[in-house]
Amino acid sequence: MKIALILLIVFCFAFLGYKIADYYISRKKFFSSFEILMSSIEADVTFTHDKLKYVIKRNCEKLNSRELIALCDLIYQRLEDKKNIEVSLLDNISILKKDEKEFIYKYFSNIGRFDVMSLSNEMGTYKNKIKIKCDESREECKKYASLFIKLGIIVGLLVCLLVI
Amino acid sequence: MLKDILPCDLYNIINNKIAIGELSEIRIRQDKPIVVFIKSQPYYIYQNGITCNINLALYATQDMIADIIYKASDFSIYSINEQIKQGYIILPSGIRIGIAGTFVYENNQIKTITNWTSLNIRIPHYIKNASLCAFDDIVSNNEIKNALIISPPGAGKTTFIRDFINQLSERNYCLNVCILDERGEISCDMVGIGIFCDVLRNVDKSYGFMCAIRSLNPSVIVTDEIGSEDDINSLISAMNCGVKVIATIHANNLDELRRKEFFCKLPNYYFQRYVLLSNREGPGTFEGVYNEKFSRIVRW
Repeated sequence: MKIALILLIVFCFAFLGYKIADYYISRKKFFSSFEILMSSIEADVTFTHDKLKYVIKRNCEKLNSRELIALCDLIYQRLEDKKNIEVSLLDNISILKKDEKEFIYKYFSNIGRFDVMSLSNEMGTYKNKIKIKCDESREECKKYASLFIKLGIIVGLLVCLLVI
Repeated sequence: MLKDILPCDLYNIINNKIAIGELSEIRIRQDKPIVVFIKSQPYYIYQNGITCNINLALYATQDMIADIIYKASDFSIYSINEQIKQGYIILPSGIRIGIAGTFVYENNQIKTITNWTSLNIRIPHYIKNASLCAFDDIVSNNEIKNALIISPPGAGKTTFIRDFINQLSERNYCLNVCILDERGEISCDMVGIGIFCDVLRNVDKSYGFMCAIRSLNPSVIVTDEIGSEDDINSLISAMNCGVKVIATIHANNLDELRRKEFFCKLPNYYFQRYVLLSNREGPGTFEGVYNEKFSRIVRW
């Protein structure tokens, strides 16, 4: 009985630790996927000159961030309905900070506004910024993700010691 | 569709207060009043519809112009650069947006147009029987004569040839008609395009004529806006292949037509019929049909 209780408490705290760590893991996945998406979009847009909605649709399927895939679906739907992209599309993405949402919104709403002259220059600016974000999120993940899982287990064990 | 490209407020005014069927042009110029042309007459747009009072008029902004182009490009301006370079965008519905702005050159070639300052949104109308006034002079005894439709801009040339194609189909002329639609205006929504029609869209005339004759075996080639010596040469080679040609050209009258340098290179007998349209009583006013010697054979 005691062992089961200990296991349950440890599991609960470890799960809590994992959920906090998941925030950092998801952020890392989001930004690394976003970096890949930007490169794919740039290549696609430059060579095929295809409409943005089709480029987004085509390239979002191979990403591994569920938040980014969901966002791409929303943007595709929005463009399909002939409506402008709005910042509110990012409201449900809890892993992003306000300035990051702003940046991603700007990227998606501006990319289709570039003519062939400014396309590569502007894309370069966005890519530099996202590279910094990507590195930061990778560092954060390395630093905090395993820490919170371990912390969860340790706190769970401590609670067990105190309770039992 | 105007709804997809115009700002909401402007579209609501146009949709609710103006009969779109009568609207032929919307002129949007940076920091200038928005003007609509209804039955060739200009009016300013204001909150409650149209007015002749400039003090009530709504003004366009540069952002408005950029936004219209952005939406017209399906949110992908880079994807329509080839059209922008030529100064217009054609929407799938046949609406043509003329663009004015700063031309950017690279290696002596136009790279694009930026800093857009004006838009001319032309709304096409399919007018049934618009070509009847001259149809029987161009088509008689199952034979089509080479014909040139002449009018100033916005006076109904494209509408005429669209209806002409439709009439051929409705009257069961089983002739292979090839439409060389350089700007996608003739066949925009495929309304009135008969079952014997092939459409070559977004192709330049010289290549289009050659391609059509080689591969599609047309009896008649219909094309819009002859405007250069190359176009005339393509016409001549098509006519020399036994293909009939119906084409349009910009000119106010026959004198203006004959003053065009490139047109002088075309021997008179190539076109057997000249149809003159004007804006005198609104777009599509029929002025007359002329024979190869420029003698009037029909006056409305």
